[in-house]
Amino acid sequence: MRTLREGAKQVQQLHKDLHPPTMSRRPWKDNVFARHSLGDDVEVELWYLAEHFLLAWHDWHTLQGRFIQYFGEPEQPLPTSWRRLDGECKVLANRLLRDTNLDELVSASWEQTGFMDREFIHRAGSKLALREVYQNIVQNHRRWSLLHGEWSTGPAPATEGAEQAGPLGETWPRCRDLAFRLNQETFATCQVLMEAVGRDLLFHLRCYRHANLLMSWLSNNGIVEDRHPAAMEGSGDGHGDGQGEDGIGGGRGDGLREFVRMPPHQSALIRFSEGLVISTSSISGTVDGYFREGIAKRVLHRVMEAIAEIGYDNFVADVTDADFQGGPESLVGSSDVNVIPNPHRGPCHELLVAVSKGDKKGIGFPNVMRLVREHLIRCSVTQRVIVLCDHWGPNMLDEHIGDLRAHHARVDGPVRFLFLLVGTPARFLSPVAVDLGATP
Amino acid sequence: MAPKWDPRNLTRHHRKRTTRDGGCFEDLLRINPRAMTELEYEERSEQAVANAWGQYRGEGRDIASGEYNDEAVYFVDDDLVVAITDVSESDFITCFHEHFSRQHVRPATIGTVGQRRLRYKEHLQFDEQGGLIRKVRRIRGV
Repeated sequence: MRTLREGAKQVQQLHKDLHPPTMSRRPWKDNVFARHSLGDDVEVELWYLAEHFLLAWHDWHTLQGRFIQYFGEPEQPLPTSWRRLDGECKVLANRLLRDTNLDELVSASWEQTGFMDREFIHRAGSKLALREVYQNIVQNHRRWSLLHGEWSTGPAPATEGAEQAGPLGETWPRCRDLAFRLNQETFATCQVLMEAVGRDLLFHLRCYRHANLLMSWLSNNGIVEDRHPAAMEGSGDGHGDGQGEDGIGGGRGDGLREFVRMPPHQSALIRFSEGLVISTSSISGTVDGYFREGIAKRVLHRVMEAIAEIGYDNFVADVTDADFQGGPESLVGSSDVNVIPNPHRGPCHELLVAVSKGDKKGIGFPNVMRLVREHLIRCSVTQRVIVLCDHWGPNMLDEHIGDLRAHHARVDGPVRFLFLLVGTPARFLSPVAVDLGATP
Repeated sequence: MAPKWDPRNLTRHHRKRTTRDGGCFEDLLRINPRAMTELEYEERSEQAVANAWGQYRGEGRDIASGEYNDEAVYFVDDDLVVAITDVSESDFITCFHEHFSRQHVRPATIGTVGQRRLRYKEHLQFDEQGGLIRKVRRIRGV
């Protein structure tokens, strides 16, 4: 939520600086004072302020939607002032994105800054140029997302100042074409650099995706309908060794997914970092035999998918966050699941997910298991329990085994337990061999 | 009290700036084609601290090792010269010119001071989100 609050503040400042000169139709090449964003005595080009505003606002606007999906519908709705601000920004954005003069200026800037400086990378050495490569990928992702987002396509409704719009009120056609080219070029360059910087680059891209909640299962993560002519033709440079079960990915021996086709309707950042996503067949293979149906299967799948993308530490931090409510698009894939520890107790469900880290403090395994046992007494409807941990030893369950066996042997609805241990790197889980029905 | 350079560290970083990034600081100081001296580098880094519009703290990631450095303080001026000191702000760690993914260009070609500041803030945000710097605490300007 802090990111959204900071984003709101930034967007509000930019809107305050940009709105007056835009409405008074100052030439885009003029320099203006951006008092709210930069202070009293600092000038900035009006066209650059407009570009900066559009990208910042679009980041914030789309993050709000993903935040609600990822964490779940908040108890307190998002501030109404944000809704108002968002609406005002959208009106301004619609106007800016149909201005042909602005399109020309911004596309000239992107032409200069958007392509990776391969000579620089070669001279500096791929590893040392990692930051530059990462920044370029991110910036091009933002540009691509802005211009290929679902809200920005199509002609604008008739508004004041329409004489400044493009012939059909189309969204910045030059920049759209350029963003498409930059996207292709970025992906091609990343593939060339993969061997030298792939591992480090993917680490930073994974961090960026988590910071912006660009999860593979969420809508509006860079996969959009693309009306660019080349995209409509479905160009691609297919690689991989066959169709996966979802028709997109093929399986690899290491459980990672490759794209058989190069879907043109994704930004290079998303396409390049899709290797972080583990395949559905890999997940199924890991937990086959455990919870096979219904909500339990869905939740298990989502938990493993989420941890593969963001890592166990981030998963624990987010799922135990005060903002976390659960939901079908959240980290646990359902509203019908209890999470321990979490400040929101909520009604009892048949499924419980418990996360632990280490063996000390409130989030340590011993304390979490005590909370699980209390929950099972309070919520007798519980039928399935998934416990996640980052370490294991033969005596881990000594304190709890009596209670667990009793719940496991319940005649009026036995409870089934699944213990999952985090592996190396901390993005993979595997079941721990625990048989509560076996004699010692 | 202004930060100071350890003599060996100064020599090492001065060498980097005049070899790997040769011509960059010389352009900022308008002394091309001759090479910048250690004294000029030292003075320019002190100016970056004295005239900084932006200041923040954080732990930067060392690309080569993959480890995070100790927390440091970052100062950035309107030419986008970045000076980094220890947390007590008494010793320089390094000083360089921010190029935004490209070879060196004159700051003025990037545009107005306002554009440079907005770009820098934006790039800092990317770095933070991407784990290139962590535990960022913004002090002023950024």
